[in-house]
Amino acid sequence: MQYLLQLLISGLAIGAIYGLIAMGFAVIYKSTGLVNFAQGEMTMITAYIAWTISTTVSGNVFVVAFGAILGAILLGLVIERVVMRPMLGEPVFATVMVTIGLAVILRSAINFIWDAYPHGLDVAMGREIVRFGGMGVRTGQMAVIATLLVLLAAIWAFIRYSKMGVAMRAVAADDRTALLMGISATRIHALAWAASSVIAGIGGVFFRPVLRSVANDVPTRTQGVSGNHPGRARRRARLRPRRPPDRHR
Amino acid sequence: MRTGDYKQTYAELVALMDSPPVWLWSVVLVLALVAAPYALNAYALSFLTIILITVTGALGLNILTGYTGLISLGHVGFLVTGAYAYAVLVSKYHMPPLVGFLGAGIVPALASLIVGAPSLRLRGLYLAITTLAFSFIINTVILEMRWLTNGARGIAVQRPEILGISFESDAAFTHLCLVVAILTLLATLNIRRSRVGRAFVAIRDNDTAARVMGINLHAYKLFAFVTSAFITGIAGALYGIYLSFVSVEGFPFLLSIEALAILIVGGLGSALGAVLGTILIVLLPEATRLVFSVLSAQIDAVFTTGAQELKSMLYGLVIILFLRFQPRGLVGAWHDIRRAWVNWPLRY
Repeated sequence: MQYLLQLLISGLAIGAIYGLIAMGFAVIYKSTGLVNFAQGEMTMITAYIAWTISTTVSGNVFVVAFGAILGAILLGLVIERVVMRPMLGEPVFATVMVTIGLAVILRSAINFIWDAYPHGLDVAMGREIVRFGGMGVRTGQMAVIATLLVLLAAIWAFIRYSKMGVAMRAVAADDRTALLMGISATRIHALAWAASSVIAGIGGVFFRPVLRSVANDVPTRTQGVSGNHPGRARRRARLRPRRPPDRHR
Repeated sequence: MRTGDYKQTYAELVALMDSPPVWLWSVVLVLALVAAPYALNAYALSFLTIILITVTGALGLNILTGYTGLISLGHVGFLVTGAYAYAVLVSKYHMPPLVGFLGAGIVPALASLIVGAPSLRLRGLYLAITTLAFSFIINTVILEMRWLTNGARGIAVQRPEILGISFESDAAFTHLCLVVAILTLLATLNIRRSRVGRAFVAIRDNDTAARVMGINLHAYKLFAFVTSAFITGIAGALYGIYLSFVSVEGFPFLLSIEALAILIVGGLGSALGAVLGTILIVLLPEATRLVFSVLSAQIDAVFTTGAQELKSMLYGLVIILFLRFQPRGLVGAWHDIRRAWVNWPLRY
């Protein structure tokens, strides 16, 4: 029973990471109506940025987090401006194929800039074990679940109530009508890409402190974010209850 | 060069070859390809063989994605199934190679029924993700069915001997690939100009309208899947023979991307496009290497160490650039050039 609970908590923590990556998908889908096949690679790049900062600049968790978020925002904005914005108004098939091309390019770029080997991300925090009546939970695991819940609530409220969120939904539902209403589709897209990159990137950075659970000491890797995980996250993204764009019409 | 469209009957519109010069040039091209293996060195010949095999596979995907508009991200799954069907039948059970090729077509075709059935209800991206999942499932199934497929160890494949003709030498094997590629091209062109092909294109352009006109969507979508998988499976068998070793690692996921890149670069929904796209995509890494090796030896070293990464990077770049600047692909560019040539100095 205790073992089951232990596994359940580890599973929840890993699920929270996938949930974060899936939320990255959902944010882009919500505001642009696109499935971003490069999400896994973007997550991976953010994780690599965090690793580079932790080894070269400082291992302080706040420095790493700040740098990684900044890097993720930049990555999202650059991709949106350079690759995705020219495709505005093209058919969905073409745009999605562009994200596939982007995924392939980013993956190779990672192999050129960094390397193809796994690295442990070493921040000083998240390894303490808190005990609940015989069960050990890493603070990192609790942190990732808490992050997911907080972000989930924040994004939900943002999309539901804020003016920007409503604009996002409007652009996804019908970008031409949205343009006529005075909404800048490009700005909405840029915001969505930056936000998605940050959310998924947070998931990528959390990969390390979480997968090293108490029960088994499998060495985790930043690289692990790639592989077939994006596939799983993709399916999760699809399972998320989501209002189809047509309903607004 | 023809200067206009003087067709008066429907038969003329759907003719396979619409003028004597087209016949003449086609025959010249085929003769040149037959003679090529004797004139080329081994290195260039390997590219010719790869192009011919890839053309077969690309034409297979073209039926599904180009004509019918069903996006498949998992075509490498059919490729690997075909290769394994051939290897198991010929190397393991010592069947004649012709039976092996038949199996290499039929087994993926059966597999495509499993993937195709859900496709009747899925559209666009959802279908793409389903096929993507299929290609990963197939890999796992092959690795787990050790009694049949030797699992991760793979199966060695000999060059075949068909009807007393040995295809042992490189030149003979290229001829075999040439025959298969030409047969596939003829089959594709004939499907396109028949009722079936028109139904496919109608489904691609607007499936509701197609249905209203009396096209059985389920039957034709499944038919597109089966035909496409059959052709792709045979291409897979040829590729397995070419590698002389069939294993899951020999068919990486990148091949699916490569196939889609070929169709996009060539121009979706055109057999000529599939051929042109294949030539460009297969020769692209080599051409890039040649250009850069002239510039500096240092870059040449990068090409040898990071060949695989560079190759995928080039595919990604080509996909993005073509979609951005020439969405109709090489075929579209060719049509533009032809029109400009005929109408010069007028615009149109």
